[in-house]
Amino acid sequence: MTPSDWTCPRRIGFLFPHPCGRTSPIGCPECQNGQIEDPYAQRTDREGYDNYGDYDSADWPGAAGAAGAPLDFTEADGENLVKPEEEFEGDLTAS
Amino acid sequence: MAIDAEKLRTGGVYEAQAPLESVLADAGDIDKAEQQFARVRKRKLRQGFLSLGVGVLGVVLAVFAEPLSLVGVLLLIAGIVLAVLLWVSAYRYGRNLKTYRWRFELLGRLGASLQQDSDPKVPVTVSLGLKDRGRFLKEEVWPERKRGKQRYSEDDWLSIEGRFLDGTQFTETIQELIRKRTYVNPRGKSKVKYRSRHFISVRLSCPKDLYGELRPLEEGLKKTLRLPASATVRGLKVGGKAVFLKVRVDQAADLPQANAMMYLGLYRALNLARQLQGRQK
Repeated sequence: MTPSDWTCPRRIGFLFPHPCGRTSPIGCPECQNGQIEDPYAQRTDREGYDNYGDYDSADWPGAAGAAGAPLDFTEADGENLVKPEEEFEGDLTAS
Repeated sequence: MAIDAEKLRTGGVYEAQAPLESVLADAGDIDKAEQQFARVRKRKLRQGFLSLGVGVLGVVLAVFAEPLSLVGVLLLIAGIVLAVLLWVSAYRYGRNLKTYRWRFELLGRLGASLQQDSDPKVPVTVSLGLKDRGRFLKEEVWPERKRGKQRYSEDDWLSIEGRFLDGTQFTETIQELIRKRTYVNPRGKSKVKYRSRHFISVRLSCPKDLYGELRPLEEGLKKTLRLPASATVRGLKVGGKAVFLKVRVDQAADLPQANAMMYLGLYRALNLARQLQGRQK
């Protein structure tokens, strides 16, 4: 049984990841009742963009230069995509 | 927000400032209204045939019942006139919604796609043209054909503005450029040919603290942008905190796919910018 104060920690989203925040995985179309671990990364409906989250340094010379390192992102980098947004969402005075 | 079907039928424009969920519900209501209009068109068509039947009855009276021949002639005239009026009315009633059905279907698909990442509390502003609102641009001689002329017009039929969950403001417009060619063929018949192209423009204005400087992404964006076969990039601008992409789509059927791919392409670059910005923090 799901605890009453539970909120789903999974990443969802079509264009960019954001926290799911649902209070129960039951009937969830994103994780299909908790069966999909990372609904954002495991989507298969991004037409033309099969490797949506992967970046080749050769394709992004400007970005690689700005990063000062190859574009081999780690899990922590992926988490950065979600965390700042949580702060934004929490701040209701923002824009 | 409930739609005013009659206003939509006569005015041919859907405008709303409401949450995306409500806009999606409206797109469904427009579909229902179109189905209602289709039923009215069928009814008018049937009534037209009935009126023609009355006209035929008039002919029978005029020919076979001589004392009532005048009544018969009047019935014939009234029946034909009424039938023609009803058929014209049946053809025109809610025709715009039938012709431009694909436009509110596209709005439904676009809304459903944007909804996945949009802030549900922030209303979107939508304007959808459901009739030909073409603005005349120019007319010129088309020398390749006898008495050839080509006339250009443009119709800004969709604009939608809103905000994503990450604070990015999105603005999208779709414009149709129509070319109408008229000429006389070798057999002396007048011909009219239409061709249209659609231009989708998307502007994303991003929170600087989240995405940082976007300009270094321009080259990568140009390299990695994917579009359907009938779509081509007509403009790409990457500013400090905003990106703008304009795409020409030759096949209207490719509009939903082109639309989704534009957002995906832009956001793939923005996600990279955000990860780079996260590293620097």
